[in-house]
This record gives sequence, structure tokens and C-alpha cells, in this order.
Amino acid sequence: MKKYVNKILIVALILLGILIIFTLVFPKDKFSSTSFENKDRGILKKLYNGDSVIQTFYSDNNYNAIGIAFANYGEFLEKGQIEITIETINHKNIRDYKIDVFNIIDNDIYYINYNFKKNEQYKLVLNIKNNIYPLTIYTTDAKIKNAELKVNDKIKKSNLFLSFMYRDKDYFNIWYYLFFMAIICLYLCLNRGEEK
Amino acid sequence: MKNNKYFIIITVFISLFLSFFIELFVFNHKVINYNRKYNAEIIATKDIKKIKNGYKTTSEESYIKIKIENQYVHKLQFNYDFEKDINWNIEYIDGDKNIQNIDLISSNLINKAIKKLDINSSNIKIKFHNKNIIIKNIEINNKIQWNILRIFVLTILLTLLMILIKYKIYFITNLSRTFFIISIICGSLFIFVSPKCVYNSWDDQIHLKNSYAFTKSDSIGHSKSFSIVLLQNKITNSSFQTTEEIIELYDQLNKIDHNTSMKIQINNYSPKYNRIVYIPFYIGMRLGKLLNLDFIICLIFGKLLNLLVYSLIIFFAIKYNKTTEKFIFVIGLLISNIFLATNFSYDSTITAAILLSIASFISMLESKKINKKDILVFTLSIIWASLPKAIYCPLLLLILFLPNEKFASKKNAISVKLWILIITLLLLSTFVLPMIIGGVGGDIRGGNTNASEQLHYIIHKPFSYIKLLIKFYISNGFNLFLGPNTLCGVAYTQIYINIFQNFIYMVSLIFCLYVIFSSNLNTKIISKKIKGLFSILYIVISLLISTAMYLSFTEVYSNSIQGVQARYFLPILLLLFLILTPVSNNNKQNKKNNEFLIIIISYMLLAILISLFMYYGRGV
Repeated sequence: MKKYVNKILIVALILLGILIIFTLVFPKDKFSSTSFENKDRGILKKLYNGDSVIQTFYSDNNYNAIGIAFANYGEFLEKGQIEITIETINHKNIRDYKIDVFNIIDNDIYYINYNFKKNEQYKLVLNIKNNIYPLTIYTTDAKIKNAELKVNDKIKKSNLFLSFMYRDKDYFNIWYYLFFMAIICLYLCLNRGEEK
Repeated sequence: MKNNKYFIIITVFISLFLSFFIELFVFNHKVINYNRKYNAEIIATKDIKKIKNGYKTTSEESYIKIKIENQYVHKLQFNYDFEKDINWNIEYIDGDKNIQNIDLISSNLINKAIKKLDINSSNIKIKFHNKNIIIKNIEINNKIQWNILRIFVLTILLTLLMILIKYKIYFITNLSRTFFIISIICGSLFIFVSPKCVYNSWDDQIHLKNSYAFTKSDSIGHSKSFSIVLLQNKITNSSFQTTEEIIELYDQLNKIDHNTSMKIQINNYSPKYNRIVYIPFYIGMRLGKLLNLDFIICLIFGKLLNLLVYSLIIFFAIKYNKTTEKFIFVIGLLISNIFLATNFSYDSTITAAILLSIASFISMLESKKINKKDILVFTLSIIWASLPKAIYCPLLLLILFLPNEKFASKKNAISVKLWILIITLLLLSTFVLPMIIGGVGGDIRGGNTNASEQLHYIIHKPFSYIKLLIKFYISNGFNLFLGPNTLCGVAYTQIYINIFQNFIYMVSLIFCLYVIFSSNLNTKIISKKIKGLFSILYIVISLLISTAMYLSFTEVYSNSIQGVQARYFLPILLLLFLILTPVSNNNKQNKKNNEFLIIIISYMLLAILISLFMYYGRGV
């Protein structure tokens, strides 16, 4: 029985080795994120129905999604929407979104899919609609390249704390394969010791 | 056998009787002389409009004045309807003819205000600060209320105490089973008397979210109940002052749980290896869903399954090795550990796994030849503990210090040690890999933190950092290693035991020191070298804990370390016990004659905790 177990484990080792090579050659995609520098984190004023927030910023990479850090003062926001528009600074690639506020988690980042191009300037517009309870968005005082924030057409010193998702190659499975290989090798050593 | 049955039956009846007695004369003593509930007689109003079956406020300074019979109000209750939380207050004239005010909030999640007042006055004015609130059924409740759950809990606690005393020989000789029984019973009772949701334990709302989304990476469908439970202000504020209000909240959460059309983003694309510790919570909650149980019951199921896993691991850890059984028993039943095991926290299973690993290591020290089972138990337990928190993986290096003679051959010893070293390095790499390969999310809780800048500071100014570490451990070391939060920490529910916390802590500390110094270890097994090794490991892990927090949770170049919590030192508490325990040359094992004392004190501390939660808390 032990011999069979050992043989199965050796086969598993070979398979894991093949998987490592396969992952190196054909890695899957995964998402990673980056964000604006978090300096002296703050929040905007309470945002109610009719308030608008405009953030312009420079995209330094080909991002696939943008994340906005919302907070809702610990209330359950049952009613309300946020209408979002993302476009380039010269009004191209305009995309509109509508988020129901009950899908927003307090103090968490909400991501919206949009394909940003490297070295382009973009404009993010948020319009708050029909909410009873206020919500707000986190900001940062860090210096952000080509970024400007306006709340109800008034320019603010800080900028929205934005996060961006991008596709990356996922090699992490190699760690799992190496880990299992190490455990199998340990087990085989222990079996050999027992046989002796 | 028959005598045992009769004893248990009689014990249950006696306990039940005593529980009823306590319920009446302790929890209802204020209303024994009144025992009546009645509709309040309204004697004056301002800006109140009478509507069908009730009243409506017409301004932000409306009030209703009611007459109080017998000049005593235990509880005031009324039904209300409003789209937001309502702010209101009670004004009355006390015995010294002074005007007193009590400010209150009632949540819009429930429609019933039931506030415990315990005031003596001939009338009270209920003032509302919102317009258009509909109020109905204002009642004064001075009735005796039999809390069935409380009676049940008290009965179980008293019965178990009597059984422990009666069958003490059995419990002394089966310490692992004794632990399991006490842990499961007291842990379950603790879950029943504690607030059922989150914001009880450190970061439990995060662990709940992670458990719920165990298999998902991008988003999860969820119900309104789930969203509400994650909102701290909604669940933990003083809107829910009484047990009745809490129960109303739970009923409401159960009712609105049916619709799972909401979707929240998880965006957790980081490696999944650190999610394995959520398995018990996930399975517990899924089991509850499968059985079509209420939302709150599903949360309880998650906690119960975590408690079960924790108790089972420690059961095996106690059974594993005679030398450490008493220590593991005591540590396993510490209030902090039972608290963590009964909340959404993975610290408890990490602690249990490490206790098991140390027990297996001691077993290896005691054996002439180590067997495969010992090494596998040792390795796999530390892996379980290290995957979510890599700081504990240096414990694997203990294997390197086992003499080669204990292995099948020198060559075998070297190969086993080499593979353990490789596994340790792979686990340690999980510290840096997330930074290299990136993850998604971003933690907006932190302030001006920057791990790479902090690391740069440590590398370029190592002496400043060492000085900072020494200063940190001189001021905080004892509190972290053997302080109140280590031995009897109950996080945000501390308010329920505030009055007695110092007493509970002193008893726990003296008890732990007694267990340590009344024990004796065989110097042939726990030699000076092994003690030295344990000491070095304890220091290394402590430094890793503080450095990890300095990198990730402390502002750059800060001269103090933020975020280091006592619960991070719980898993290595057994190492501290072994370091401090006296050793002797002869083969004298741990004294047997104090085991009953250890059982009773461990049990009584938990019973006191449960009783305090019943008296001061809002879970029952």
C-alpha cells in the first residue's frame, strides 16, 4: 500500500512540475490595483441629492477599472443613485453608469469598469440623486499629477482617493505548486525513514 | 448507572429551581412589588395631533406628558413609525425636585422603543425632536419578565458545576474530554448571551465579509440584512438599549433577509491561501442557509462551527502529550480564547493549531525515535496557523534542533530538516509576495502608512529601530504577554464586564502563574537548551509581530509602533508557560492533585463571564 502511495505522490510531483512550467509559459490574467498616494486622508462634505463632484486626473497606465472610496456615515442607504460619467478630457469615450447606493459598503472602494489609456487625461463626474441619507467620498492631500477636484463647481485643494485596477500576469499558482511539492517531498522522506 | 441518572435529574431540577429564583430576585427584583403593565395615561401634549390609533408629532419640539402609577417606571415602551432614526428624550422631576433629562435614540430598523428607565416620578414628559413621527401604544411595563433563555443558561451552568464536582475523578483523569465539554458548553452559552452580530470582536465585520464571500473574488449577492449588519453605527449604537429592542432588531433582520438581489463588490483577487481559516464560518453559515434557517441563526451556526473546530483541535492537543496537557487546558479555556472562538475571528484556530504543534514537538522530544505522525501533525498545524499569519512560521524551525539520532538515519534527518526549512521559507515569502505581485483593494483605514518607506527606514537606521523596539517592549511588554487583553480580553463588549474586569484579570493572572509555578518539567526533556530555544523563538516572533505592524499600520518614521494587539501573542503563550515553568532533574511529572482546582477555576471564570454578559449585556 505504501509503495502505491509513494508512486502516486511521485506522479503528483511530476504533475506539479509540469504545472509550474505551464504557468510560466501560459500564465493566467489576474487583477492588481494601485491607488493615489494616501496622504492626510479626509472626506468631502456630506453629499446630498443634486450635489456633483468632478475629478480630472491623468492615467499613467492602461487601467481596466477605477475605484472610488465611499463612506455612508454608518447608515443603510436604501434609496438613492449615483450617476457617473467617465470620459477623456476632450469628450471622447464617454461612458455612463448608474449605481444604486445600497450596493455601496461603508468605507470601502467601489470599482467601475472602464478601459483607461496610458498618458491620457480623464474626467470623472459623479452626480448624487434621490438619497435621504448623505454619503461622502474619501480624499487625499497628496500631490497628484494633472488632477483637479471640483465639488458643486468649487475647486478643492485635495483630490479624490482613487484606486485603479489593471490586468497582470498571475504567476502566483507557482507558489502553490512549490508548496505542495515541498509537503509531498517531506512526506516521502518520512515514509523512507519509516521503511528503514 | 441508575444512580448517575438520578443524580443528573435531581441536579437539573435543583438548578432549574435556583435559576428561577435568580431570575426573579436578581433580574426582576425591581418590579416584584409592581408586576404590572398598563397603558400610559396622557395628561398633556404639545404639537401632537391625534390620528387613528395613535398620535403624530407636528413640530421638532413636540411632547407627550404621561402619568405614572405608583411613581415608578421600570420600562417605557411605545410603537413608532418614521423613515429615519428618531431622537427623543425623557424629562422628569426626581425625588430631590430636580429636573432630569435622559437623551435617547430609536432606530428606524425597528418600530418599537422599549427603554429601561428605573425612575421614580409621578409623571414624565416624552419629548420628540423630529416632525411627523407616528406614535402608538405608549405603555409602562413594570411586569416581571421571565427570560427563558437566561433561565436555560443558568440551569446549564449550575448543572455542569455540580456534575464537575460530583464526577471529579472522571474529569481529572480525562482532561481532554473535560476541556471539550466545558469549551463547547460554555462557548455555546456565551454565543447565546452575547450580541449575535458583529462589532463585538476586533475586525469581526471584516472576517464576516470574508467568510461570506469565501469562494468569491469579484462580488457577492447578499440581502439587506447583511448590509445592515456590516454597518457599525446601525447595529451598535444606543438605539438598542434593551434586550427586547435587540430581539426586535434580530426579528427584523430575519424578515428582510429573503431578498438577495443586492450585490456588493468583494474585489479580493489576492492569493486564496489565507482564506482556509474561514472554512468553519463558511460551512456553518452555508449549513444554516441550506436548512433554511433565519439570518441570525446562520450567523450563530458560523460561530458554533468555529467553536467546534477550535475545541476539537485543543482536545487533540491536550490528549497528545501529558507534559503540556494542563497548560493547554488552561490556555484553551482562557476568556480571551473562548471569546475569540465564539466570534468571527480566525485567531482562535491559529492559537489552537500552534498549541497542537508545540504539544507534538514536546512529544518528539520525549520519544527516542520520532514518528511520521508527530512530524506531520507538527508541520501541518503550523502551516494552518501560518497561512493567514506568516509570523508564526518560525516555529517550524524547532525541528532543526532535534538531534539527528531521533530520526531513522542521519541522511533522513538532514532531508526532513531541509524540506521543513524550504516550507518555512515558502511561508515567509508570503510576507513579501503580496507586495511584489500586487493585490486589489487598498486599505483606506490606514493613515499615512507606506510599507516600503518604512522598510527603507529600518534598513538604513537599524539602531534607531532597535531602540524603538526596546522602548516599545519595556512600556508594553507585560501588557501584551500577560495583560488583561491577553488573558481576559473581550474587545468591544468590555463594557459588560467593566466593573469586574480588574478582579477577573487578577484571578486569571494569579491562576496562570499558579499553574506555571506549581508544575514541574523534566530537565531531560525541557533542557536549558530547549528553554533557550523557546525564549529565542518567543522573542523572534514578538519582533516579527511588532515589525509587521510597524511596516503596515504605523505612520512613516513614527517613534512608536501602532496596531500591536495582545491577541497576536496568544498563540505563543504556551511557549511562555514552558519558559517560566521550573524544571527538575528527577523524573517528577506535573503534580496531579491540583487538576480539579484548575478545572474548577477555569470553569468558574467562564461562568462569571457568562453571568456578567447576562446581567449587563444586551444579548439575552
